[in-house]
Order: sequence, then structure tokens, then C-alpha cells
Amino acid sequence: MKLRNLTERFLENLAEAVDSLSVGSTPSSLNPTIAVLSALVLTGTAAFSYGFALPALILAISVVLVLLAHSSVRQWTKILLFVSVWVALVSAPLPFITPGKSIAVLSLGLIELGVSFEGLNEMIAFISRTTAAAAIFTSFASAMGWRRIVNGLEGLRMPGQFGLFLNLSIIHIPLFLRETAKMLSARESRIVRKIRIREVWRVLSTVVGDLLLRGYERSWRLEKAINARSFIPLEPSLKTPSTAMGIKDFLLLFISLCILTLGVLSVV
Amino acid sequence: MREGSLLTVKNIHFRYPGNVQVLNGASFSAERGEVVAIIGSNGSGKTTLLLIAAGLLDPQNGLVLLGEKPLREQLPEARKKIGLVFQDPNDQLFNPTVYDEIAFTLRQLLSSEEEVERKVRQVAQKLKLGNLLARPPFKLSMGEKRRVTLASVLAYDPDILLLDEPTANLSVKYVEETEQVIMNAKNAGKAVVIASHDVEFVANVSDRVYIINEGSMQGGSNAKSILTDESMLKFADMRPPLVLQTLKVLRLESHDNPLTIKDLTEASNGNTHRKQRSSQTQRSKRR
Ligand SMILES: Nc1ncnc2c1ncn2[C@@H]1O[C@H](COP(=O)(O)OP(=O)(O)OP(=O)(O)O)[C@@H](O)[C@H]1O
Ligand SMILES: [Mg+2]
Repeated sequence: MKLRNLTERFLENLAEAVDSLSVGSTPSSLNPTIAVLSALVLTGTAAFSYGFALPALILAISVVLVLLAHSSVRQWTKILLFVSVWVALVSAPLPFITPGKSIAVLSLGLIELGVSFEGLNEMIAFISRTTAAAAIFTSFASAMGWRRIVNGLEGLRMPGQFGLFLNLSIIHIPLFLRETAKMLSARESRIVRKIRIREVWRVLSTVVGDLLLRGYERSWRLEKAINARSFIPLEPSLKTPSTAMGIKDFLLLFISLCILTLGVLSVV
Repeated sequence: MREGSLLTVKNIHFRYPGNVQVLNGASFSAERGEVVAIIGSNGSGKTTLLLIAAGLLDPQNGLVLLGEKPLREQLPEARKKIGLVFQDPNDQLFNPTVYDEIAFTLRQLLSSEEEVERKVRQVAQKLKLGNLLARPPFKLSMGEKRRVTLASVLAYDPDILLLDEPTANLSVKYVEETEQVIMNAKNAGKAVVIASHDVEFVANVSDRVYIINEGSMQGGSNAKSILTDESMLKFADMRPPLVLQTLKVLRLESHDNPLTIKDLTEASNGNTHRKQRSSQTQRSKRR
């Protein structure tokens, strides 16, 4: 059962990586509002940039940030790997479907697929944009932790409900992944004789239905748990401590705005 | 039903969607400074009853009173007065760190994060959670999770504590600590309601006991009279405390019916005192 082991390890690793974001490495050294604003500006610039220079610059900044904040390089890399593999999968058709100068031909039996230079270029640009965007946001998140990110968002006047929602997702994504891994093991432990691979898949695929049911059940209880401790009619709003702005915050904001300007200028 | 209780639950009928009738006219009450236990076997409706008492589920019929007024009309502010500790800590914990879990209610009540932090640390120290504050609650052991759920409720100092199976999955040391927390709450004038099927634990802490079976309730008088009444216990498929069963097997039943080892120790100390005294008097008579 190599396949399941791999799946389980993947799920566990991903859960671990998302978990590591919930507690920051240097949570209180930056003003949360400024940091979140900078994170959003840089992530946005990376996501909407053209070419390779800007994503590369932003990737470099995120590496510096990870090193300065003493965040876990391993977890950061794991998330980046996951994102880039995923994006590569999604954008894989681009070289084949984009018209342009053909650089290679892939023949699959009866079908011949042409790989275009423009398409390949577009695919790589897409991967680098998304990876840079993910990298910069992850490095902010792993330095500050989700709690500070939520605080920062509230500093930017996001509704409290949004913060609570973010909090809940960041907790429940890893839980959900671990639960899936556990459910797979529970099923496997009860396959007691050699059965055909198709049957194995049939047994394992029942996980999906179970996850939906459990998800529903859990949200029913979660709603009770939140209600039980909510005293004010409105959503609970976290009261942000007003952290003063330091030189670091000004510097961060300045760099972010410079890069945003670069991004805008490169488009015009 | 007593008049003027802090929490009064009257004639509750409840059915889950899908026609699972769970409660058929369940009633109980709890006053300040007392520990009330609701015992019953698995699936008898204890958890459902506590969710209703906390105002988290609406019964089809019946009434929950907080003080004189219906709880419904006082929500959500009245939740400040009710602290529910869920049966499964995983259902209750939803914050990224233990600190946030305890601070969740405090942030609604206090105006500055400094005050919140002071209070969180105070509660954490009381429940020996000081070194776990930065950890995600989901990664703790079951016993630690239980203490976190208790802390998250004790933090806002509610008048009523509703504890659902507070000793499930706990080792002896933590059971004793939980008993201590319950006793402290009782002495501080809180009403404590415990749902449990652990008769030994109930015998140790409770003042009054209700028995629930298939959604209807009996009892409500003092713990000793209920826990020694075998026909009453049989109604809910429960057995008397082990001490009592042992004495019965050994044909050593005594009129004061000790329920716990502590009772038994006290009783036997009393007996030896009495024996010593009577043998002394006999000796002096002989002289
Ligand atoms: N969300 C739900 N939907 C439908 N039925 C439910 C739901 N929750 C509980 N029940 C049913 O209601 C009945 C009472 O459940 P409840 O959890 O209140 O019992 P309990 O006395 O707390 O049991 P235990 O000692 O096992 O905790 C059970 O038969 C259960 O199957
Ligand atoms: Mg229960």
C-alpha cells in the first residue's frame, strides 16, 4: 500500500505546514496593520506582474524576510513546493494551446501536439507569479502568525466576522487533512485479506462521503461552541492593541510601495 | 421543583430532526452553592439536556428559566452567566492557541489586551496551563485539552457551570484536580451541574442527584438517598458505587451506607473509636 502511505504523508506534511502558520516566529516585532498592508501590496504586485524580474525580486524579499524573522525555512519551502507543483499541473496545457512559434512537437499515437514558445513562456511566467505571491504571503504569515494577520486585517477595518472565519479555516484545514489521513488508516486496518486494487479504491473512496458527513457534524457542534461563549449580539471583535509604528514598519511600508510603483511602471 | 432556583429546567420535550425523540418531560433545577448531578447511561439524553439548559438548542416544549425569567429572552448576554464545558473537548476548542482559547470571552468583556493577558495568565496558572499557552489546543493530550476547556469557561467566571462528563478520559490525578475545581466553584457560590455516568465521581462531589433514562427524569433528592437506592439506579441501568456493592457482597452493610472510600474510612475510624471506647469501659467495669 505504497500509494496510501504517500497520500497519508502528504496530508500530514501539508497539515503540519499550515499548522506552523498559526503561531508566528516573531509575532510582535512588527505593527500588524502595516505588515498586513505590506503583505497585501506585495502579494498583489507579484500576482499581477508581467515578466520575471518583479516576481524574482519579490521572491528574494520573501527569502530575506524568512531569514530575518527566523521562520522555519523547511515549512516555507514545503508550502512553496506544494504551490508550484499545483500551479504547474494547472498551467500544463498552456504551452500546447497557446498559438505561436512552435519549438517542439509531442506525438501521442494519432495526435500530434505542438509546443509553442509563447505558451511555454506564459506557463513559466504564471508559475513564477503565483509562486512569488505565495512565497511573500507565506513569509509574512510565518513571521507574524495568523492571529497577528487577523489583527492586522481588523486594523484595516475588515469586519470581525471575516477574522473569525479566517481563524476557523486556518485551524480546520489541518484538522480536516489529519482526519482524512486517520480515516484512510481506519479503513485500511480493516481490509484483512488480499483484495483487488479496484475494491481497495472502492473502500477508500467512501472516505469522501464520510468527510462530508463529519464536516457537517463538526460545523453543527462548532456553531454551538462559538455561541456558548459569545455574549455580545454582534460578532466577537478582537480588540487590537495599538502598537506604535517603528522604523522597521516605515522601512517595510517604503519597500512595498517602491515595488508597487515598479509594478505599475512596468505595466504602463 | 424548587422555587427561586438560579437555573430551572421545566418539562422539556426534545426531538432531533429525523424524529429521534430524546427528552420526554425532563426537569431539574440548580441553586447557588450546590453541585447537582444528572446520571444516566449512554444515549439517555444528558448532553442534549445540557445544550438546552445552556440555550444552545431550542426544545419543542418546555422552559428554561435563568433566575425568574426565561433564558431565551435574556440571550445572548445571559451566556455570561452560563459556562458549558462540552463532553468532547475537540468540539469546544476553536482558537489557534491555548491563549486565544482562554482569551476568547475575555476579549468581549475587557477593554484592553493587557487586562485580557493578565486574566488569561491568572486562570492558566490556576489550572497549570502556564507552559501551554502558545500551543495549538488540537495538539494537546486529552487531559490537557480538558483543562483548557475548563479554563476557557472559568475565565469569565459564570454563575452556573454545566459540565458534561468532566472526568471522561482523565487519569486519577486529573479526576482529583477536577473535583477540587468543582468544590472551589461550589464554595464560591456557583451552581454546578454535572452530567455523568461515573457514579464514583458523582458520589464524591454531588449534593443532589437526578437520574435520566430515555428522556425522563427521576430523583433530585440528596445524593446518598439516590445512590443507595438500587431500584432507582436500575431505572437508568446504573449500579451503586463500588464501595456499597463490595460491602453488600461481604455482608457488611452498615446503616450509614458509605458511598466513597472517604466515607468508609471515616465510618471505620468511628467504629474502631467506638470499639476502643466500649472495651475500655468494659475493662474499667471489670476492675
Ligand atoms: N445531532 C444529533 N442528531 C440526531 N440525533 C442525535 C444527535 N445528537 C444526539 N442524538 C441522539 O440523541 C440521543 C441522546 O444523545 P445524548 O448525546 O444527549 O446522550 P448522552 O446521555 O449524552 O449520552 P453519552 O453518555 O453517550 O454521552 C442519542 O440516542 C443520540 O443518538
Ligand atoms: Mg453525552
